Amino acid sequence: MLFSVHDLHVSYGSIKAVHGVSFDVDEGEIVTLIGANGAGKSTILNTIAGLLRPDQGEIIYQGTNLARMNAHDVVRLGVALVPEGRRIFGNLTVYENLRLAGFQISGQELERRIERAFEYFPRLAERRNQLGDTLSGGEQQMLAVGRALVTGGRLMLLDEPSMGLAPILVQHIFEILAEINQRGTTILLVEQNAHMALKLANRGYVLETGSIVLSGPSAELSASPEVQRAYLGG
Amino acid sequence: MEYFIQQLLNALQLGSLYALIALGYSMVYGVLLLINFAHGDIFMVGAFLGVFGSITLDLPFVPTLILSMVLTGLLGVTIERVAYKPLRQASRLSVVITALGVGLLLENGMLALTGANPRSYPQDFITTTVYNFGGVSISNVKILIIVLAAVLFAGLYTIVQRTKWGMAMRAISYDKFAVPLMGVSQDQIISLTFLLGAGLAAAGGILWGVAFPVLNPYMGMRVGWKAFIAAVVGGIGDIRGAAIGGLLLGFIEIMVPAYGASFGISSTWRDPIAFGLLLIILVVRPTGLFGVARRQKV
Amino acid sequence: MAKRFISLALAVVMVALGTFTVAAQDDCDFVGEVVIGVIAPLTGDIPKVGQSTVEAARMAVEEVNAECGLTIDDENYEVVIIIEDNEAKAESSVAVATRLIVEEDVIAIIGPQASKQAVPTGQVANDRETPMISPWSTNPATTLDRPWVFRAAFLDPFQGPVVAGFVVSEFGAETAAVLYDVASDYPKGLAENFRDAAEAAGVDVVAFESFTTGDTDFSSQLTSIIAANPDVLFTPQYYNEVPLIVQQARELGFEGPIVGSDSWGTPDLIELCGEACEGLFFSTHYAPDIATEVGQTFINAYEERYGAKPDDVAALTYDAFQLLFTAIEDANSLDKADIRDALANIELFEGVTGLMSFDEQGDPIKCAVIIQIKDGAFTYYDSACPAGFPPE
Ligand SMILES: Nc1ncnc2c1ncn2[C@@H]1O[C@H](COP(=O)(O)OP(=O)(O)OP(=O)(O)O)[C@@H](O)[C@H]1O
Ligand SMILES: [Mg+2]
Repeated sequence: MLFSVHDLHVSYGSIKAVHGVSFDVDEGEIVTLIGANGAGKSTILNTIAGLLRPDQGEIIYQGTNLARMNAHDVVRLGVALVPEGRRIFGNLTVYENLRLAGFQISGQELERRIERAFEYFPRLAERRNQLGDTLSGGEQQMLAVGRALVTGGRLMLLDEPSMGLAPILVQHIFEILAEINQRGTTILLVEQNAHMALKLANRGYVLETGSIVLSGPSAELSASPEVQRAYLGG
Repeated sequence: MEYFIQQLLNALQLGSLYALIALGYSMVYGVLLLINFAHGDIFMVGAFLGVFGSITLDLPFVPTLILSMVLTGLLGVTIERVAYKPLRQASRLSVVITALGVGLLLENGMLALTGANPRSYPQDFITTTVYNFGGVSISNVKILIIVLAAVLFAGLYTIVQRTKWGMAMRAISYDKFAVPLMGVSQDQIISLTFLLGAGLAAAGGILWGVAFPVLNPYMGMRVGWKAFIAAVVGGIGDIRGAAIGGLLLGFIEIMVPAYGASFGISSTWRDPIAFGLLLIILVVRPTGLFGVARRQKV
Repeated sequence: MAKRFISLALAVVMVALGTFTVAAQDDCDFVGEVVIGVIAPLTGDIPKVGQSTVEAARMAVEEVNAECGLTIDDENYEVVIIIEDNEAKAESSVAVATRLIVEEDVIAIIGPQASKQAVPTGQVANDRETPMISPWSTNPATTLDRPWVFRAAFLDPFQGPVVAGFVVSEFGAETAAVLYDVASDYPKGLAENFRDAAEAAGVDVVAFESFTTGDTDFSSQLTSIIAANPDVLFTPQYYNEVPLIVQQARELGFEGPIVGSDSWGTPDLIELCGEACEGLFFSTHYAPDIATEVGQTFINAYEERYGAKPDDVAALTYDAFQLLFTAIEDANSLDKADIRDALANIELFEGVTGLMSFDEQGDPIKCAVIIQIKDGAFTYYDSACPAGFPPE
């Protein structure tokens, strides 16, 4: 197993956002975490990435506990987060965004990874010297994923990549995620768009107010009446 | 014409010095949204470390300059680590008060260390030579100040624009949240910012001491305020703005007395006019010459 | 050092005893005493001033009594001084002045030294119609509209005319420029006085440039000054500004002489200014290497007695005593009004600090000392007098 979370508790001050969540992800899988607004999805991803400190629980990645690590050290292990809302650096050019994402690498390896990001997203290559602020929403999302590709290759955490994008663009990005996965990157995908997410993922977990209420292979979840009712509009 | 060129050179010298100091305010603000009110006093420490290097250690100019830049840079880093870092989550007001307190500590510490008597560098630190070109006098000191300030600025600009460290500094000023996800230690970048800002202030301090060789522990207050204003007018957070703001302030401060008399303006009005002009710039462009309105962050 | 300590201790004992009579020659047949009050800051924040006052006063009195005191109607009167400590405070000073006049019946008062005490004390002396000479005070209010109050030091702005005279006689200057701090009274007053006196003496003031306190860059003003091509630059600034002004002027290509006033007179100036100030001149009250005969006699005697060179307080205090002695003998009377008139009418007195007489306000018209910065030290150069003084 590449990655597992055990009994994770996270809070913001006195507000408890995540109450004892456990799940795991195998090497090469795409696993999705679905849940409504405020369920705690972003909190979990941010905690894994090292941006938040859990109150309790373990985050084991290749035998290492990430729970007390700094975000910039987590990156070193090959774990990259595409944060909610993309958070690209609008005052940096496309190239600079990618260059910065490779802060801890240099030389040929860096150039190779940037080239790979451009291969996945040729539109970014065309805009390499354009400022982040001037990109369209879809392009910004591409850049956010591209950055994660440069940062680290083993495990990619994505927080609602479909947010605010036209369905056709979502389609495109999910296709690329599938391709990235095929080339060996394990993916943990957080989505409200359960339909798309379950189509892409091998397995999924359903999160409600900070706890996992359901889990199983994607097909099984898609078929479950609760998921149908709550997330698939059925 | 010679008169104008002479005054222009005077303005370039003064403006270059303001610019070197303004850079530190601007960089720190860009990265931390913190107005480092101790920066003027860090500049003063840089100037006094020049006294230490040149008199106590008997070093020539270049080693003294490097020594002071390094030590002052480290002082800047230490101040951030000890005084500001614990307050990153605290209110802006507590940080501003802390910064003012650090400034007072540096001033009074230096006063206790060196006494109230003004100091200067030794005679042979930079032996002044004056060249005359068709009625325009320019000394090696002026050339040194203008050229060195330009070189330092170019170096800083290259770091900020071309290196990953500079990209990280710019990235932090845009969005702190995502920076660690790039594998960047925010603390390291903040320390680097203080190192560079304080190092440049030290260079400014030494050059100031060469141009105006009467150093006292309170020298940083007035100069610091002016450089801060220059940074704001240029657009705080942008290093080109700091450079342009500094040069502009130097230009106004020299040209008002140079030409004011012909308009019946006495030199008492220099500061009111200088700051009035700067205020007008801010009214027209509230974010300063190079500033962009900050994204509202959620 | 030990000697100085003893003299200070003695002074304190004298105060404790109230009066002090200096041992006099036995064969003078004194018929009476002339009692003079001395008010000095023996304690408080300027005890050094107090010490110099007492040392100079004792020396002046001992010297005069050794010559059989003061002669009035061909009879010898012994001089007696009563020294009072004002603790460098205005209230104490007023109190002791009242006591000296009312209870001790002194004929005149020498002191107080600092303007802070001299201004209110002058009021007491004037109201009680007792002549008073403040050796050291430079605030115009001390003597202003007080016919009974005089001083030995010239007022600050008085140096303007002196320096104007000096630049004409020394450099043959036909044009001059001034650079001064417009936000500070001392330089401003002096700059204006210099300008007026220079123009009266036929010198064209081609540039009159100012800056404000705290400025360090004078290049703009100096460039304007240099463009006006003056023969000489006068800058009545302080020791922490002069080095900047001089060095910047030289860097901008000014080669003429730069002169100043007594605010230059702090040794730090030489250290800060270095080579650049070498050979420059400024005016002041007194120099410990003053070369006049009267000056040298006093300085040698004082140094022999106390083991140190007299400072400006000592020199001016000594001069104040000599002025008073002269006036009493001129008046040939022990009546306070006669003495006051005689003081006001002194035609020409040569003191340690130069030739002097009084104007109608009781302020001295006197020659100043010109100091040259030479081989890294303040060196007596000459004495310089305002136009028309001394009278032919
Ligand atoms: N910075 C914060 N301070 C306090 N409470 C927070 C903070 N961020 C999130 N929360 C709370 O924590 C809970 C979980 O939030 P989280 O952002 O993880 O939800 P989410 O599942 O990602 O929702 P969404 O789909 O809207 O992004 C919510 O109740 C939210 O209000
Ligand atoms: Mg979320």
